[in-house]
Amino acid sequence: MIGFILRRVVQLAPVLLGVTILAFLLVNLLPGNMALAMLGPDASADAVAHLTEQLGLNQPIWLRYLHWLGSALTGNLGWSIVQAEPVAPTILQRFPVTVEIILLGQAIGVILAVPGAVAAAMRPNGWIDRALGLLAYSAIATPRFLLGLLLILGFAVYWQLFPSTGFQPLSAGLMGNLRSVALPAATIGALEFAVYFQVLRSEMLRNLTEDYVLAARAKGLSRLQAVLRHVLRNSIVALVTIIGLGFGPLVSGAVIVESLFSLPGIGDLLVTSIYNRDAVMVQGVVVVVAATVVLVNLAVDVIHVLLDPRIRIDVG
Amino acid sequence: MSASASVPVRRRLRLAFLHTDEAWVWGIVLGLMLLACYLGPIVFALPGPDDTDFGNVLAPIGTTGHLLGTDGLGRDLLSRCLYGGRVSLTVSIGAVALGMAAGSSLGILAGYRGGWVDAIVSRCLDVVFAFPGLVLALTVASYLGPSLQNVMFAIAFYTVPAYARVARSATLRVREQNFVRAAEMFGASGTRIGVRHILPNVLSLVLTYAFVLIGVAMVIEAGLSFLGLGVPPPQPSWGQLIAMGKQDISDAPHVALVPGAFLFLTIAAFNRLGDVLQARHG
Repeated sequence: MIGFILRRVVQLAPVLLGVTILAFLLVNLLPGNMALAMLGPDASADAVAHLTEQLGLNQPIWLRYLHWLGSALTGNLGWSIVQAEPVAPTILQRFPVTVEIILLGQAIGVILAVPGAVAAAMRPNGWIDRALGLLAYSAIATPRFLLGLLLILGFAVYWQLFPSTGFQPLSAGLMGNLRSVALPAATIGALEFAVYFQVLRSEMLRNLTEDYVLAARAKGLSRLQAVLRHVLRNSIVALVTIIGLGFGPLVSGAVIVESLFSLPGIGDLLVTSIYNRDAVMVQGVVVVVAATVVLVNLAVDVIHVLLDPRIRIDVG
Repeated sequence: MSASASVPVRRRLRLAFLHTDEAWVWGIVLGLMLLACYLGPIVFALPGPDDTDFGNVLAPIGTTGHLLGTDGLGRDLLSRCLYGGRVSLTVSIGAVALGMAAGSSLGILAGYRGGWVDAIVSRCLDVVFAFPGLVLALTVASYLGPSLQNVMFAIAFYTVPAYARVARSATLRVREQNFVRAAEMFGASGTRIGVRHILPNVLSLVLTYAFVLIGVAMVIEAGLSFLGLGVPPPQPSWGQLIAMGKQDISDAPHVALVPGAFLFLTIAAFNRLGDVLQARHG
């Protein structure tokens, strides 16, 4: 087990290094002068030259990368000239908001998907199964901002139950905080429900054909008892994996949702930094997001092996 | 036998139609959508997408002369949606075609060569995979600058690793088969084996996967447009139209919901067609 984790960590190191290289190159190597981009097209040649000097853009790119990587390893992601703030603390301050809506969205997804999938597995192709399947399909085909707009239309404009924009920090009270993130979390949760439901349903239907279910039924357990005690338990591994692997795509979702509902998370930071042509901040956000995705995926692998000992045999 | 005999004939026919030919249904929906977007504005006398009609501002659905209503400047929503569809469809299909060409080549190369080539390609793909799709597309699009081609490139960049993985695993299955062995024995070059023997066997899987990915590409394109980093105005796209409708959401929700319905129907059709075809391939 420890050997497995160590091996995965060793495999991870080059990927993490690659992530920093790609994040750096994305911002630095693409066409266009970064100083000119930051100052806008009307800037004077002098101002551009000065900022180029100040940002160290006249040094060779590999040297700039090594400088940046060196300080990034000590937790210093640079200084944002546009916002006059250090990058790392700003990201750290914004991160909890994003994590909160992602976790709440996932929780909503699980709460809806588990009973839904159990009901669907009890009677495959019955009306509950078909209705939930259709719902899941529709949720997957609806872009998040469209769904968010529909929720705003229903719950903020029509019924006025929840605010459509604005964020209340947790320090200002739990209820206020939850009310302010309810619609964003629901927007995220709808798609999560759809994905979890589809995965859990097909996994449960597959497990239902196994011999142990037959044995359990032969012992006298009802179909519901067999599903709850045996099938659900064996299908949870797939659900945990899909929840973990969903973190990356959910950051994409958070970018949209935070911008739609004006939440001060990391996605909003990325979008405003791009509007402000704040290259240093964009670079910092992108590398933090990608590194987090890599680490979450590692955690998923480890949890997967802990939950299902059969996998250890396959991968060593 | 007895169960099917008890189902009334009409009902049985309807279900059979839905089950066996679902791919056709969605294929026809998509065909009509493409025809409407690319030919509709030419065939029918529609107002231009930027023609303002200040006598008919925020007209509801069903207004004479404006079948699907108008936006805050009195611009015809049907016309804007059809023109917007051209942009959304062109960008998504183009991006997936680019990603398919680059990704499949990489995947076949990695799968057929194996060894260190495979190791390097796979690790690089892992790196790109670590970047969430929209974050990657957003960053690439913002630094390339907003234009139709650049948005297409930005989304294509994201689809490359997804394609490479599919092509690689398909190649691994084909590589061990006898006809590849035979070609190797006759001294065929690696390129020839890749193009003449592996590609035709991987192609159907790769093309099937395109439908699902076009759906994903449309979601990303719409997201970029919604954030104001997609194809720049005045060229409308569905995502942009929805974003513009946001300001009138309480008085005239149809301004956002009409393009939303176009986008939803198209993505659903691509997804469903992709799933049905994939299930058929096993």
